[in-house]
Amino acid sequence: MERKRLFWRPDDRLLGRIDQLIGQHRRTAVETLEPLVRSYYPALIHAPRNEYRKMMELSAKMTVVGHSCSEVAGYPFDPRRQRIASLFGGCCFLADSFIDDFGREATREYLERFELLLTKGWFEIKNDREKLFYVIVSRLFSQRDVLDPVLRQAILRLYEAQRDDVELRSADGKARHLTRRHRLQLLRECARNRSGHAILVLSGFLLPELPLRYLSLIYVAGELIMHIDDHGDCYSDLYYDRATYMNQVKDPVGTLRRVFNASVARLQAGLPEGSGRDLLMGFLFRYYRTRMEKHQLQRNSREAAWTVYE
Amino acid sequence: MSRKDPSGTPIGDRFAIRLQNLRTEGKVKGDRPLLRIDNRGEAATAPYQYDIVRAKLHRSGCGAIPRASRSALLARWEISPEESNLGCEECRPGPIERGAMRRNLASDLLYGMVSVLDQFGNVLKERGREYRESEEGQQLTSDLEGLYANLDKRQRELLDVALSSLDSLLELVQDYDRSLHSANGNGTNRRNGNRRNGDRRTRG
Repeated sequence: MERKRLFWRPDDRLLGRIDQLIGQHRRTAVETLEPLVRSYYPALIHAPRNEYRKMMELSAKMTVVGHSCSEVAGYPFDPRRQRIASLFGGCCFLADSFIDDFGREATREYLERFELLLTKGWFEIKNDREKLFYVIVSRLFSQRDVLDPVLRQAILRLYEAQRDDVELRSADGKARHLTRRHRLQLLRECARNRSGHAILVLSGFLLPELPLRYLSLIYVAGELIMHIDDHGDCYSDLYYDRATYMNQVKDPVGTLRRVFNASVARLQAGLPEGSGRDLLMGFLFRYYRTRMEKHQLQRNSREAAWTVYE
Repeated sequence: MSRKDPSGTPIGDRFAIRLQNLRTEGKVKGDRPLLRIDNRGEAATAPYQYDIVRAKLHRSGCGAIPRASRSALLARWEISPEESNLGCEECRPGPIERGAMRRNLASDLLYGMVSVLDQFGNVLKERGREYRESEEGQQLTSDLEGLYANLDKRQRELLDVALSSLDSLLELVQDYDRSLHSANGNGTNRRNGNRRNGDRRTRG
């Protein structure tokens, strides 16, 4: 059924290449992040809920995405870029945890302190998790001119998307009085921006420049990643009272398929033919497939919520 | 962390952490920015806005920018010829003459240097005093005195002129900075200097 309806699917050779790259980039993530974790937040290695392994998987995934963006723009994905992408994955994992895992008060405080970091450069380090986060951020910032206009705007847009997402989720937030249609529209925009701007930040750290038309296409890929991710996390998000576009629409499977088809069609038509485009589209297909499986597994078992998925 | 990691070093990490601790300990002016990534103010005054969602380049304020795209606009200060085909059909953005844009790299750098000296002045003075009294500091003092003694008259005059010029220049910039602050109220971080953010280019 899925095979018939998807606009595009990769051949076995491309899927094999992606499998091999995920393994390779998982090793890069461990080589880059593990020494930092051991130095600044060793408790993470044995933290409950497989946090450490989840961090490495997110980082490996970001590194594959970074790999495809680099090749799309015609730059080699050399060891330096691999390390940058791994650092970015670690940074995203920790930032997401500050927002999602420590309660509403901690979320609000994190957003205020992160805004101070972006507006003044100051960040009060209160514990080892924050120390690790700050070290990763400072290493990332030293890798490229962080005052590059595109990069700094993407960072601010990502911050605003996170802030809006928290606001939308909040039971007493602005979304409470909206019509269902308007709320769905805002949730969709929010999902689009959360991952769309994140992938622009990643490409900003990796590449000296990217033509405007490619920025839009990379952003499309980011939006799709978010919807796929949210579909995979559907049951745990509902359990923790987190509303997302994907867990609020009436037909999530059909919606995701339509978004996948439209996004991949745009990427195929707009990105330059080559290994970067193939890798990006192949990765998106693979991610779609594995998160559909994750969705099924989580529906059948609450225990599956803390399983580490590739 | 003993392995050499080209993406950063433990010394760099410690420096970054120490820098933050200086503010927590009240040793630097924490109300002044260390690094401002936020350029939303400048972005709002840029001549163009790129709608990332629709891949359309607009003049700022164009009525054709969809509401849903407002959270995904990218400010642009110039457009290249190859980007002109992305232009909105309604506002038809055209290139701005580059010659009209001011470029103040040298003064921005000087302001940056002065602001760092100003913000971290106390820490630098304290470290300087400690260093002067250390064995290495004493050695450096005697080396410098020896070096100065060995210069001929003309070389000494040149060095004196260079040092006093730098001194006067720094004083001049600080005076100018103070007068601007008092004229503009609290002008915190209005001149922290990335020329490419368009703050200056569009006012030329």
